[in-house]
Amino acid sequence: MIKNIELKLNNISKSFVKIDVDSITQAVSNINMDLTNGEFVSLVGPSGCGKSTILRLISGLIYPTSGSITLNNENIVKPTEKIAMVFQKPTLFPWLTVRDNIGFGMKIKNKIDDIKIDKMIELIGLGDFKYDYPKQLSGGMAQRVALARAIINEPEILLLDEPLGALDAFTRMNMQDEILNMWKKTKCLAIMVTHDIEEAIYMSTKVVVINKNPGRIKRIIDVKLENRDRNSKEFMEYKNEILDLLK
Amino acid sequence: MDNLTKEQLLKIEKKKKNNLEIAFDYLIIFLPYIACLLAVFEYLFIKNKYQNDFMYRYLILLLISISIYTIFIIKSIYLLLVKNDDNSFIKYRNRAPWIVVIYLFLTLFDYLTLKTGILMYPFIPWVNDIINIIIEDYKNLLISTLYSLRLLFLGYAIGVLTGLITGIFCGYSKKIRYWINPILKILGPIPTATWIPLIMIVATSLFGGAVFIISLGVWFSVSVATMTGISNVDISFYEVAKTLGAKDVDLVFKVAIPYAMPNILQGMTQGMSSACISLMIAEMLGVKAGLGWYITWSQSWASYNKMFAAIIIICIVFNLVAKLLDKIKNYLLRWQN
Repeated sequence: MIKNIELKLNNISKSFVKIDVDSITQAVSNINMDLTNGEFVSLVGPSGCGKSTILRLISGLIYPTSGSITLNNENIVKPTEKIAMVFQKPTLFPWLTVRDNIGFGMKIKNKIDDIKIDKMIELIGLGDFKYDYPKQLSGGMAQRVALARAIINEPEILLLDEPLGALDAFTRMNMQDEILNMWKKTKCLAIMVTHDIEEAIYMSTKVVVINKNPGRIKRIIDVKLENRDRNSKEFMEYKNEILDLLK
Repeated sequence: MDNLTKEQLLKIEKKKKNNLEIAFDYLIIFLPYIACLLAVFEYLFIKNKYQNDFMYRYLILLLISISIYTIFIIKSIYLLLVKNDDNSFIKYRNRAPWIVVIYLFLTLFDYLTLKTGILMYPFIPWVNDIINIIIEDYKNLLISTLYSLRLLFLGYAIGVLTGLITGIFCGYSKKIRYWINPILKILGPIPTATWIPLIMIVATSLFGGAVFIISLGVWFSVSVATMTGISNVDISFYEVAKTLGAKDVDLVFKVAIPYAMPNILQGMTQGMSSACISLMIAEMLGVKAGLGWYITWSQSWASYNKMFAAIIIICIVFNLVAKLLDKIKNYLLRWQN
């Protein structure tokens, strides 16, 4: 079981230098969030509002221009396996088999747990593809492997950067449930960027609506739904509320 | 139906051949026998122009070659008819025309040299004469081959190792690239053989000098290829690895090098061909051992059959080396297919 965690984003701003023109753009500004484990948070907003930037800041791949991000009162200074990330592209290592891709994190620490890897492969239903190379997988299968690779290290935070963006509608709905199941098992803090408002409501406990130029939090909505029925009245109300905010 | 392997599926989807086409395949696969017989008849029944010692040796060579072919053919027909696996049958059916051409070439060559002297002896010896000289002088040839291989692999190994180190550092660090890149750029277009006369004067030992020359060419191509491969690594691979807990060392050995592996192997293949060239030139110009030396030495004694023997051995050895490298490459890059 995962220990309690506290992720705090204190007044985060991030600006980028534009390479071609002599100016800077502010990607996000004044972001404040307090998150804890057991939450599934979705970031929604128009393209270019800095959703992905927030994820990358939390992951430690980039640093805020001002403000601080703390995990259990410690600054996040570099990426660690405690904060796993799944990207829109599966980015599987093409030279490793499915099995070795999933075991990559363990291999690095020299703590390979074969049983755990095999269990994970069974869980994502790719038992027959264990020794195949990523080239032989479909988009959905590859993304499942990427998810398994991130989750097998039992991260405290799981960052999902439009993980289902490149999938067809049917695979997408299946994968939403699979991600939810994995998240329920680990009870980690999941933070997902998505374009799809229904997906956000369906999966999350919290939806963060973000504005553009620069990216600011417009509202944080707690999703309280008994059953996640996409056609229910409450579901529609959440959807309309978010759509209104994004207008 | 769901448990088909890839091979089975391919077989099902392949177009069936009709009887005429099958008969044609069998005809082609048996053509080398006719060509081989032709070579034998030509050798036995046309009058020689020159004296031909141990004339049966050439026949033994033909016999051995056709026997090896027969073994493979029997095996592939067995696989085809009993195991219903046509891969090796198709492979030999596709090779058969070339084998025919080789036998025809041998026949023609024998006619032009031994039988008529149109290609004049001793400048161009016939095959049986070359076989005789190989058997007679096998000790020297063997020692020369081993000397060449020792020089080749020593130089190659040093070149690959230093090239990998340079390439990795240059691909990874901009500071190191700043200092090394110009050197590579200036040295790049100059064939390493250019330095041989200089090295032969400066180097304290000819062997050491030759090793240096061979490794220089290999170092160059491996460095450039590795550097290109590593500096082109897709940044997202680094990011994924970092979020999985990879340290800088892991990024180099578990991400950058595997990613650059196709480039590195490309460079190693290039390096091998440059190493073979340098080896030959070094041996012909200065080193007093090896097949290159054997060629110039026998040429200076006007024993052209020895020269031909050495050339043939070089062809075989270098081809084997290239084949070995290719096997290693296919194994390491199996994820690409």
